[in-house]
Amino acid sequence: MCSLRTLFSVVMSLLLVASPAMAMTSTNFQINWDTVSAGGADFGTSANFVTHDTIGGEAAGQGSSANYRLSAGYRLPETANLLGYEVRANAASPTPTWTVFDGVDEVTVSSVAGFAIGDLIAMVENVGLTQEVAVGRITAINALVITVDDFQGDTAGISLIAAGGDDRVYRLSSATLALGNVSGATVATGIVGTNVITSVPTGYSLYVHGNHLMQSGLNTIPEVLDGSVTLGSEEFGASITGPGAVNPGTDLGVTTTMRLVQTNGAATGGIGDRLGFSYKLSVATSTASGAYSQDTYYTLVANY
Amino acid sequence: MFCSRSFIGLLTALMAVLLFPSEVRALTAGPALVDIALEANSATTVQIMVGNNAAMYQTFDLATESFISSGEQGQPQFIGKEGAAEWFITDASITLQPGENRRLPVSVRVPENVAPGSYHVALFVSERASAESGVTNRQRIGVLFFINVLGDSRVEWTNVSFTPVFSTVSTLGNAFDIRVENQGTAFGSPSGTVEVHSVFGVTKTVPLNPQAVRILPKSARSYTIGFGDLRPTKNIIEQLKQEWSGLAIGPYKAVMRLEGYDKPIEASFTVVPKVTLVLVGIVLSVLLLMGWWTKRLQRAV
Repeated sequence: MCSLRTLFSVVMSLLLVASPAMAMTSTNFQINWDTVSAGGADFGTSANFVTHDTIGGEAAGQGSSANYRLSAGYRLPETANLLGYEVRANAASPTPTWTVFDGVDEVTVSSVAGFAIGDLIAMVENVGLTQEVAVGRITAINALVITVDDFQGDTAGISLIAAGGDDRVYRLSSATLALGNVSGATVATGIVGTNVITSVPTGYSLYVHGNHLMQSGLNTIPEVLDGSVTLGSEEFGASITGPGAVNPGTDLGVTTTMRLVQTNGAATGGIGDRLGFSYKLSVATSTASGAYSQDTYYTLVANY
Repeated sequence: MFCSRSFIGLLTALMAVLLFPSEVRALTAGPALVDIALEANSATTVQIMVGNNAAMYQTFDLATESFISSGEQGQPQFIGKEGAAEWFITDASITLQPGENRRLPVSVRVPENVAPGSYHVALFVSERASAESGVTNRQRIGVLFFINVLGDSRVEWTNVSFTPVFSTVSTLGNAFDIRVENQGTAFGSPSGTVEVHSVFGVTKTVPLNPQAVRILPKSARSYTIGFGDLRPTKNIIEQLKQEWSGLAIGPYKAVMRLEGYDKPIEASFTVVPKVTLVLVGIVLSVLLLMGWWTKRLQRAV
């Protein structure tokens, strides 16, 4: 449980960063932001409700230079309760093998070509239906050692000395997860990593759903129903790992119904909360050939 | 998790989101929770900020859905574009350049003859789909609107519970599970205090709802608050430091006072600073042993 002192410090610091006018509260009302300098107003409310008055706002707008970008001026505290996240799939390359994991934040790879500081990466042990995954962001590269800010996911289960049949580090940089060609004798797997950062004190929830099932024309591949994608069965799904993951380690389908995959009842830390999705596709000999696709939506909302 | 990370890191990350978007490659939106209070047959316009932190132009579609409460953790269940979701007027889509943060006007018009009370709508900002093969990942953020239509609406707290997480602690601190139901017609945010009493009187007062959780009408909300240092310790030295930072001993009583709920609720817990007591016991034993040994020596002389 957090100490109130720490919580208070964080909340106050967030307000200082995001709000030139401090939020004010009392037992009967709260003002999320309030700027008074010249004239004009857009709306106000009575007791028990929120006031969002703004008077003035000179020099509002965006500025930028080669080194920074600034959003300033009129009611900047729209950012006071900010939700931010990214969703990235593994790119086709680089995919070097790894040999040593320090259990925390360092992994030794066969090649660092194609990686850069700031990249989101996934370390995968035993690529396949039972793979284990940890996601981190690169903070340093020294020789063949990649250091990340923090690996989140299956860090406790991943071997310190690579023991899987196929152990890889992926760069997560693609909007699309290409699963390649699949036959009845093989399966396809891929990684999607998400990273949520929020200052909302009540935290957030992340949901996933698809525009339809994995589909090619009129043909569809059904979602996995038994908790495990199996070689030779026609099914598609994903398991997840990371802080706040809901039903981690179980293969679940992506359908048109929104499914909660991650939640946290408090603001995130500075690194954010990551989730590693292991997408798994298996087909049967009876599966109709075709180019199957699905738009997968990752919906992030604040808890209230 | 929250406490184990430096808040400086959080500030840095948020500043990175705001100031160096191309480094972070994220979709951002804020405020994530928007409160609006209006009379029926009136309108207002608010602004939300949407940021495209990708290194490319992106088009986002905008859509609204009403939501109700799902469970007791403050999570919404979306029920489609019905009811208050029809009150919103926004652009159908926006296109943002790489790294652009844009304030987006959102107008809300409450129709005539709408009953007083609160209405709840999510405005979704969705990355536009394309016709790529494979699994195409789409980002989608929902900004939650809480619209209070003014008039004869009310918040009514019922079935309130207040339970300490730990019955025995080693330093003056504890966490409390709180559950409150709202049988009113408008959402509410519990306010009040938790007073911690020792046998000598009130020793600590903490706010009842520091996170400003909300409770929708006809639903319940559970949450946890805490005070003091409750972090797990790694060794006996840390444990001793923690005990001394909030040194206390004996029975304590916590009294929850929820505004709008006339009955205070009490809960009890006990503070037992184990390591300190063991240490004191050892010191006393040594002193007694020395005293006994000294007397024995004196007798022998």
